[in-house]
Amino acid sequence: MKLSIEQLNFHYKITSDRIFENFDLEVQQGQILAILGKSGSGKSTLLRIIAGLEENAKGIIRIGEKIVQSQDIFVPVEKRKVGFVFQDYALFPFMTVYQNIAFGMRIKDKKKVASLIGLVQLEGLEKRYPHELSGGQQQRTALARALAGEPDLLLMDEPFSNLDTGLVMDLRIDLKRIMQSQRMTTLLVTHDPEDASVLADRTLRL
Amino acid sequence: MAVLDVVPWGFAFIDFYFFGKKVHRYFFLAAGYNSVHSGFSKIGVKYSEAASTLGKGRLYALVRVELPMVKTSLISGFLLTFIDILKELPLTLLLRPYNFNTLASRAYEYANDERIMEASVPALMIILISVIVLLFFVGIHQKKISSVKDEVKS
Repeated sequence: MKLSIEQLNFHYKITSDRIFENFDLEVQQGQILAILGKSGSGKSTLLRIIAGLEENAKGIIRIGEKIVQSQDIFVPVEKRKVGFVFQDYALFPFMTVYQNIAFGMRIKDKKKVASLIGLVQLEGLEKRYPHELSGGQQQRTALARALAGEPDLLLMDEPFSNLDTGLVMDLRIDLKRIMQSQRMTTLLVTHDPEDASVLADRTLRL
Repeated sequence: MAVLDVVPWGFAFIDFYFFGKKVHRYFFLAAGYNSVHSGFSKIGVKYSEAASTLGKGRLYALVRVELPMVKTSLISGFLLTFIDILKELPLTLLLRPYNFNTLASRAYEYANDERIMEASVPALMIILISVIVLLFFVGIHQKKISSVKDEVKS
């Protein structure tokens, strides 16, 4: 779905530094936008605001035709239908790969979980726990988990930052294939311009 | 029994139920609280946020994600508080109901009457129960340490 942000203003409650001032953004349906910028420029904060994890933001955010945030409206994070891949993946350590992926599903559909496991090429690892997986496998589990809830929007916060350079090359290609197959509007935060050039249709510098 | 005789007992009852219980609660809160608080501090908010982005509410995330992760800290807090209560003497002597004894108060009373042999039974029971609970506590922590080591190795 299309994402549009109008007149976004944000500052942290503790510090008065303004992170966003009258910030506008539009991302078309199915488009992959890479967000680049220095540390502290607000890349991850922007994703958190869109997801509804930061409540201090002011402005209008629309996902599709639905307003999820405005002066009078604040749709809580669990109702925004947004998939989020965290920088450190935040996989539930006491759940297996299968249980992690199925966690966000309303009805635990075995076929759907199996198809997601196939999509991210984790066949045979369903019963493993996150600490028994490599960094790349954890990243793919996190991606499958985010996709399982059929989100309207996918947000990825530095998905390659914890991985070896050699592995990143292969994963970029994998991720590109998955994102193309899903045709999902995606915002990808990265500090590496190469991630942006390989994966994104458009780049935004903060 | 005259009405006036009942009044002090009534006050004692009210005092124990509305004041004494609170004192006990706050006195023993520290041991349990520190353990549970450190468990929640360690996991932070990321798992709760991850559950929220997967469409789950705050309560669901607490029950299904956070509580299983702080299970060890909750059990540790319970065990430490249990040992603390088991061995507690001054507060028990001040606030216990009439004719109510704990192992600690019984040991104190016998020792006070110089009946050392009799005092040794409840005293040894306190030690025995505490050792069993502590062994259980150490077992839980060793299991936790070995699982962390496994995670680091992988």
